[in-house]
Amino acid sequence: MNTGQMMLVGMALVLLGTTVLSVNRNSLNNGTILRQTELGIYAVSLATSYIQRATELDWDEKTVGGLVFINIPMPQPPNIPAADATAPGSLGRDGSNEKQGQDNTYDDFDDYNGFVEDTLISNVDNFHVTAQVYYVNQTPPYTKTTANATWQKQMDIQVCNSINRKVFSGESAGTDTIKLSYIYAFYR
Amino acid sequence: MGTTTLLDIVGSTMTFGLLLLIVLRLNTSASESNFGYNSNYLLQRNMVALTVMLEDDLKHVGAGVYDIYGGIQLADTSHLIFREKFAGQALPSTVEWQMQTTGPTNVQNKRIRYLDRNVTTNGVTTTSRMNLGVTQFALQYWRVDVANTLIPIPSGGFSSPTTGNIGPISVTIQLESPYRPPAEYLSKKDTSEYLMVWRQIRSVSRNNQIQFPQ
Repeated sequence: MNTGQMMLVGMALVLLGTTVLSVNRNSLNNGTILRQTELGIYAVSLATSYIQRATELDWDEKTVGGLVFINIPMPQPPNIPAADATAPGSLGRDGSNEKQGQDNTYDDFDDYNGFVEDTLISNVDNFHVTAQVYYVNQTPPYTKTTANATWQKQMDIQVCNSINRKVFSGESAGTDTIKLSYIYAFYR
Repeated sequence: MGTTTLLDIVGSTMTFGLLLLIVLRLNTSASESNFGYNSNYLLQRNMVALTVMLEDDLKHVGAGVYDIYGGIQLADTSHLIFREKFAGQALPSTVEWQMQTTGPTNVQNKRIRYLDRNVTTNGVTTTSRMNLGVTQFALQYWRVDVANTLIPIPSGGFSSPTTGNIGPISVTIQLESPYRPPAEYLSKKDTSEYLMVWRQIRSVSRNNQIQFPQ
């Protein structure tokens, strides 16, 4: 072969190589996206399970003892007495029998404030779960309030999982976070 | 033909063969991946569709049913009957979820079972039979009055005052793909596993949560 022919062969090989790598990259991208959405299903599953578990509990430590007979009409924010609802700065676990990361020891909704737990789903991934609970205003847009107690508490729960996104951005690993929120209003 | 020409022909044939091998390997790999990706996508879509329906139903257990013991009529490991009143209807309906013991016969994965959702309204039953690749549909029931305590199953008559007390319901669902990739598209001798998606729900209906346990 002369030099021209060699160059043509070389160019053909480069073209073929580029095509092969491109097809391979697309295939890996598809796989990563599907894996990402699958992990999303697991993460949503975990988050909703924690929310449901939290909403099974009493609304506040002050209502754990059973039905609370509140004066009619009910006191409205910012005049809710300390005997009816925990102060905004004190939301969280109460007493030493409620332990960090062990929600089976919790007895009311706001015990989840500051909750942290790592959950391993075998053959899937390790999920890092965190939760915050705070009071929100009773009128739209239901923003967070720290000044006083209200009859509504919001839980924000985040579930993070690691995923290899090397094919996307060159980084070896990244974190995906699912964040769900739930407002629990006092109703009994 | 001279020796040089023969060498050229042999060389080019070998080169063409190598390139052909590369392309065929690429094609095999693409087919295998494509099969897996499509199966996984279908499973995920099925799981989302199923859980949306199921969670919606479980949240409405006992809705509009004036029974202080909740609306659950029968609770078993993969069988649940409860009452709820759908929006716009005058009378409560009976909703039944049950995993069947039979499944589609014309698929490779023989573990797949049908999942039925029957709704009876005014004596008329509408059956929705779902073939979503369900291989596990496990229900667990928790006491409404004692935290983290399971209720033994199977048991019926949960609307009576002596056997009520079901609060949260846990559901574990596992979906599997109906087919393995065809062997000729597999680059490795792995025919052991079908694709699988798993999900667990823990749901509690407001109406069941405020029943008065006996």
